[in-house]
Amino acid sequence: MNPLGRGTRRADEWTSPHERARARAAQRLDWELDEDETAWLEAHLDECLRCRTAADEYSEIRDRLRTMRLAAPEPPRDLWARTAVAIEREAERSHGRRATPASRFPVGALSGVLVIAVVMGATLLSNLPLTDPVTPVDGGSFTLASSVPPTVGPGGTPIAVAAGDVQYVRRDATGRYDFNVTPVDEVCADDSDAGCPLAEEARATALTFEADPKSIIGSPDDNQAIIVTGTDGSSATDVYVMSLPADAESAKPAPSVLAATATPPASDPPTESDPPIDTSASAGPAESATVSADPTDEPTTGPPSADPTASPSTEPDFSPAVEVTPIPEPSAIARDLIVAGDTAAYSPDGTWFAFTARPADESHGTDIYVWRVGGDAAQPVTTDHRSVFASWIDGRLVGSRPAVALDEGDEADAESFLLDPETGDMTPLAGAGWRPAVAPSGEFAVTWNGTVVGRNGGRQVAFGTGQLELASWDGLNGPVEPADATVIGPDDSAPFDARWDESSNTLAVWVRDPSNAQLGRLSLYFIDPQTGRLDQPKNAPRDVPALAGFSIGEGRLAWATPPGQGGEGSRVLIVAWTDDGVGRIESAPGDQLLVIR
Amino acid sequence: MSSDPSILSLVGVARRPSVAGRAVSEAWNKDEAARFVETLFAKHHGEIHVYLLRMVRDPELAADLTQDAFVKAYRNYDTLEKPENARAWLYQIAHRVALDEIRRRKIIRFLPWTGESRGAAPSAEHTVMDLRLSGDLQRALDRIPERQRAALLLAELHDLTGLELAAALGVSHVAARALLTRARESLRQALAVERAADLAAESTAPAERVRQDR
Repeated sequence: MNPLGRGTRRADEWTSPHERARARAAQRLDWELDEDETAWLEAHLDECLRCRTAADEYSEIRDRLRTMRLAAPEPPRDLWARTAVAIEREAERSHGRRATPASRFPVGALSGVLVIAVVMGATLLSNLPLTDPVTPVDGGSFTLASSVPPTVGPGGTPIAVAAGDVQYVRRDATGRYDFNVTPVDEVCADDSDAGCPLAEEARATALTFEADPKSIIGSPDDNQAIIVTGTDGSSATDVYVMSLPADAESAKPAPSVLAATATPPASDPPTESDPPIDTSASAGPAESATVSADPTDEPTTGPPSADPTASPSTEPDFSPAVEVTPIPEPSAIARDLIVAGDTAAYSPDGTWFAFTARPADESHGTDIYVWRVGGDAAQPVTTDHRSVFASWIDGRLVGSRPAVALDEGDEADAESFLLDPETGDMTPLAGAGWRPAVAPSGEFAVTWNGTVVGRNGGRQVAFGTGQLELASWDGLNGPVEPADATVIGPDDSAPFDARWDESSNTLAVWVRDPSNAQLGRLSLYFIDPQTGRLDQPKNAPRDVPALAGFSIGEGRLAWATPPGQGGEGSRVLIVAWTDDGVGRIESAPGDQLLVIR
Repeated sequence: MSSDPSILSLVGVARRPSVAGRAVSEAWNKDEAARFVETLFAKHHGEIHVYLLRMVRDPELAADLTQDAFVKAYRNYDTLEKPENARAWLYQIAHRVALDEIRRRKIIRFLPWTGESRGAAPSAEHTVMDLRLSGDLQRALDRIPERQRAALLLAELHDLTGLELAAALGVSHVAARALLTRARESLRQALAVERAADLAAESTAPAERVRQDR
C-alpha cells in the first residue's frame, strides 16, 4: 500500500532477532519484503509467541485504523468563505510578513490540559518499553539524585488487591540505608489518570551496611535474609545471613516480610529467589554463571558495577554489618567468593540456601554452594568447578554444567542434574537444558535450550546458540517433551533470570541488557496450566526496563526501575493482579533500591 | 518547506531564494494563484480538513488550520513546479501547519478526546461523535509522537504513496519509511496502554484476591 520500496537494512544490523521480526512484521504492511526476509520472518513468527502476537496486533491495528475512514467529518460550511476572505486579505498585503492566523483559542482554556499532558507523558514513559535505555551509572551505584517524592504517582484510580507485601532496601543520597515493607493493598489499574498514590511504606528501619549490599534474598519464613555484599570495582563477594527487622517497629504487621519476595512458602520453585548477585554477575563464573555469567559475559572482570562480582570481599572485614537497631549482626556464611548469577535461593522448606560461586582468586570455575540454615558456613556440593545452581525442586536442587570442561571459546552442550544437598547424590536430568528454572508444581521449567561457551579462561560460561524456552516437566523426572516448548525470548543469548510465583501459574522473566549487566527487561506471563500456553494480560509488564533482581509471589511482581526514568532515582514498581486485571503502584524514589527477592 | 532539495524535487517544489513566503517573482500572478488555490480547495479541502482534524483533534482548530493551510498555499504558489504534485504539496503545507500549531501550543495532542467544541461549527457535534467511534485507538494515536501519527494517518487514511508521504512529511524516502515502521510499533504499545485503561475503568468493583488461584 505504501510503495516505499524495499527494506534495505541488513540482518546483521539488528540488535536482536525479535527487533528484526517486529520491524519486518510492521514493514510488510507497507511494502513487500524480499523472499529471504519473508521466509525468515515466517520462521521466526512460528516459534516466537511474542513476535507473533505483535505481528497480529500490527495487522489488527491497521484494519482498525482504516475503519476511521468512515469517520470523516465534513468541514464547516463557511470554510471556503472564510478562506477566501483570508486569501484576499493576503493578496492585498504588500510584501510583508505572512499573515498570522487569527488567534484560535483562549490560552486559559488550555492550561488545565497541560497538566494532564505532563502526567500522561510521564506515565507513558514508565510504562512503555524503553526507547532509550537508561544508563545506570558505572559501578553499579546509581547516582541519582532526587529525592523528593511526589505525593502522587502516575496511575489511575486505585483498585483493591490483596497481594503480598514487598520488602526492599533503599539507600538515600547520603548513603544511609533503610529497610522498607510496603503492603500492596491497592494498585492503579491504569496509567492514564493521575491520582494513584505512591506505595505506602508501612515500616522503614534504618540499616547500616559497611559493604554495599548487592542483592538480598529473603527466607521463606520471612525471618531472615541472605545478603550478598561487595564493593564496586572488586570481584569478591561475601555472603551474610541476617535477621530481618521483623515486626519490630513496624507500623503494621509485616507478615511476610522478606518472604514475600519470592519465596513462597509452598513452592519452590526454581529460581525464585535468587540470590545476590547481581544479575550482572555476569561475571559469572565460568560455567556457571548461572545467570549472569552467561551470555556475553565474559568478563569476569567486569565488575562493572554492580553485579556479580561485585564486591570484594575482601573488604577487610566486612562487617557487613548491618546495624539495625534491634537486629543482630549478620554473620558471614561465605567469604572471598565471587557469587555468580541470579539464581541463589532458599529451598522451599527454608532449610537450605543454595548459590553459585567461584573463588575470589579465580583459581577455578564455579561450584554450587549450599548453606544449611542455622549452620556455620556454606559448603560447595560440587567439585567439577563448572556447575551452577539453577533452582529447587522440593528438597533437591537442580544444577547445570557444560557437558565437558571448557576452555576459552569452547562451545559445548549443557547438561543438568538433580542433587540432594544432604547426601550429595546426583541424578542426571536428560534434555533439561541449561539452568532450568522449575515451577513449584514441577510441571514447567524455563530453560536455555542450547549450547554454552567458555569465557574468562573457562571459569565462566556464556550462552552459545539456542533459545530460552518454556518446557513441560514432570517434577523430579525432568522434562517431559523437550520438543514441545514455547520460545519466550526475547533475546537469543542473554543471561536471564526466570522465577515463578507459588501457584506456578505466573512467571516473570528478566533478560539482561547486552551492554549493561545491571540493567535488563522484565516481562510477566501467565500460564494456562492445562495447555501450557503463555499469556500476557493487558497492563502486564512486557519488556519493561528493570534492574537486576526482582520478586514475584503472592499476587504481585516487584522490581526496581533504572535510575533516571522520569528524571528521578530508582523506584520500586509493583504490579499486582487479580481476576479483573493487572494494576501497578510505585514507591518513592531512592538513590539505590534493592528489592528483596 | 523543507530545505532538502532532494525532497522538494520529489514533488516538484522549487526552492527560490527569494520566496520566503512572499511573492517576489514578477511572473507570480495573484489572480492565477487565487484561481489555482480555489480549485485546490474544491478538490482537497475535505481531506485536508480531516487530516488536520485527526492531527489536532479539535474541530474548530482544524477548520482554522485548514484555512491557514490554503492561505499558505496561495502565498507559496510559486513554489509548486508541477501541478500534478499539488496534492502532496498541499499535504506538506498542511502537515507543517499542524506541527507548527502542535508545537506552539504543546497541548493539542492532549486535548480531551471527547472535548467540547468551542464555537458553533455545524459539524462539531458530529465530529466528536465520529471520533468516539474509535475511542481507545484515537487516544492511542494521541499518545504517539506527532510525526509518527502523521505518517500513519497519511499512509493509512489519506492514501499517500511512498514518495508523496516523504514529501508531505518533509523527510527523505528512507526516513519516511522508518517513521512509519516506528509509528506502527508506537501505536501498538500505546493501544495496549489504552486497552488496559479501559479494562480498569470497567472493573470498578473491588477486586477479589485471587493470587492463590492464579
